[in-house]
Amino acid sequence: MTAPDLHPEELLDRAAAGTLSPAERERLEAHLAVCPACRFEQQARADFAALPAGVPKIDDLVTRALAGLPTAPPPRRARPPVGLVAAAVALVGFGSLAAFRLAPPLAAMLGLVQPAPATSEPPRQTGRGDGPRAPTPSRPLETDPAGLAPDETPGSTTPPRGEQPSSANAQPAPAPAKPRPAAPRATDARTTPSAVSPAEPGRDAEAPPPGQRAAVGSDADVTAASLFREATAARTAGNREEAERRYRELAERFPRSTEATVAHAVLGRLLLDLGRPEEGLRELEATLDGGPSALREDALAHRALALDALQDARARAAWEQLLREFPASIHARRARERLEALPPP
Amino acid sequence: MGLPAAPATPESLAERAAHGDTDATAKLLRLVAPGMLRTAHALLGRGHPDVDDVAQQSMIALVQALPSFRGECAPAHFANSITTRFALAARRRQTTRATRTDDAIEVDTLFSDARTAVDHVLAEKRRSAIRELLGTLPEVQAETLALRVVLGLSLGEVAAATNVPLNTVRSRIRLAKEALMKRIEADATLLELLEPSP
Repeated sequence: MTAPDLHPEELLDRAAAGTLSPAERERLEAHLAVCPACRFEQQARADFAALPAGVPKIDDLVTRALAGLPTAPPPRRARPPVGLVAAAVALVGFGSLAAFRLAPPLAAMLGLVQPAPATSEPPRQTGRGDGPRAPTPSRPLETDPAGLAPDETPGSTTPPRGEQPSSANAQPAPAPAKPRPAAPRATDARTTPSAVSPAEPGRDAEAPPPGQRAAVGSDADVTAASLFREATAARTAGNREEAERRYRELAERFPRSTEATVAHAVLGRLLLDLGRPEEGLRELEATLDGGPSALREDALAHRALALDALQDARARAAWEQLLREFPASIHARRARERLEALPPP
Repeated sequence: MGLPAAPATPESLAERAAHGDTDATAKLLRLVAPGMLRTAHALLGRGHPDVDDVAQQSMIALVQALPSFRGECAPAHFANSITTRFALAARRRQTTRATRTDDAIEVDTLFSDARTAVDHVLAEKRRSAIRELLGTLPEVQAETLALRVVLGLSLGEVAAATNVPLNTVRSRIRLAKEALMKRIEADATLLELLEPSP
């Protein structure tokens, strides 16, 4: 074994950390003089360290990642992380239909989408997006606190989007600009999965007092926001049947609320996950029927998936519509793959 | 008046996120995302079309892996090691497709300090050489070398991030360096990229 075979990795580490002693520096330099591989490594480490951090897209990427999480967190397991990570790489590998189907709009639950006033708003206009849209950045769910365009929130005083400060390069601070509930949140209740407290999507005035869950069936207490919270809590706890019941009740009792629109979107994907694409399709189409733009891209993609699952001839048109309206969509790759695979019209 | 709440640490956020705390999950992702995106950029090259996908899917995988995370290493290292795996997988796919879209010299955007343009070009060529090498190495060697060279982790940090003994890390690095040495010997231009030995 020659000297270059005995690479002094610890010395390279200490050199990188700037903690070499004079004697160690001498030893390292003697090795580097005869070992191009270590010289290359040392210089390449410095080269990579000089790369700047990729900050501008962080909010966008985090939002998309949150939207792509499965409905319930996996239980704690005792196995080491490496195997699981490797499996995750294999499972989630981009373009994975399985991961794609699992994606719920968790970002909406986290307050990354700020719904509009729920119960007092007039009926929504429908038929939005029937015509071609200008290309938009690939953002399945908006991080902009004003994620709902002004024309989607009648009565809103939100200025036009063009007047909003750009959030693209802002520090990650997705907290909604609108007032949060005055009462403090029960932070201690957020430490267990069963007590996950998603962002309140409803109006403050509708929310029950902190710590008090609305009793469904009692009209005095039940609001769109309270039903939404209950449905979300059930969904994140993995209780899909209960979540489905709550979302359906919400959509039935408060059909014009923003929560109902989100509920249609979440329920649509939930039903797809449950292998009920026909029902899921109905929910997703309800989302598209006047739903906010923040949900539209995602709903279009899942509607296309539902049609695919049903082997419906409209699947091709659905994927094409997604690409037409959102050419930079995160789902664009899947859309193009499906369009190649589907029979020509 | 009570004491102000202590700021959440990455470790505490990871622990809460592992238990399904969505608020902690979002905070943790925002904390580690810059490093993950930087890792994807570093391994794939800034112009690579899969950079965003790799970063995003790595974040999803991170959240899914958190329940098994035992704090063997810093959450940021854990996150970056996941990104490394995704990026290397993307790199292998790219190698298979034999397409080259990612190794363009990015002299104008990558550096803002006083290094000369020649230095920038040499640095990017060295990065490209490492990226190409990573695409040809066996998976575990590539991961180990990437964590060490691209992310700059120490031996111990690599061992913790990959959950293998230190000697295994040494062995993998040694094998990866053998491959690097052969590559250097086979391509004299790589030697020209090296600054003179001290």
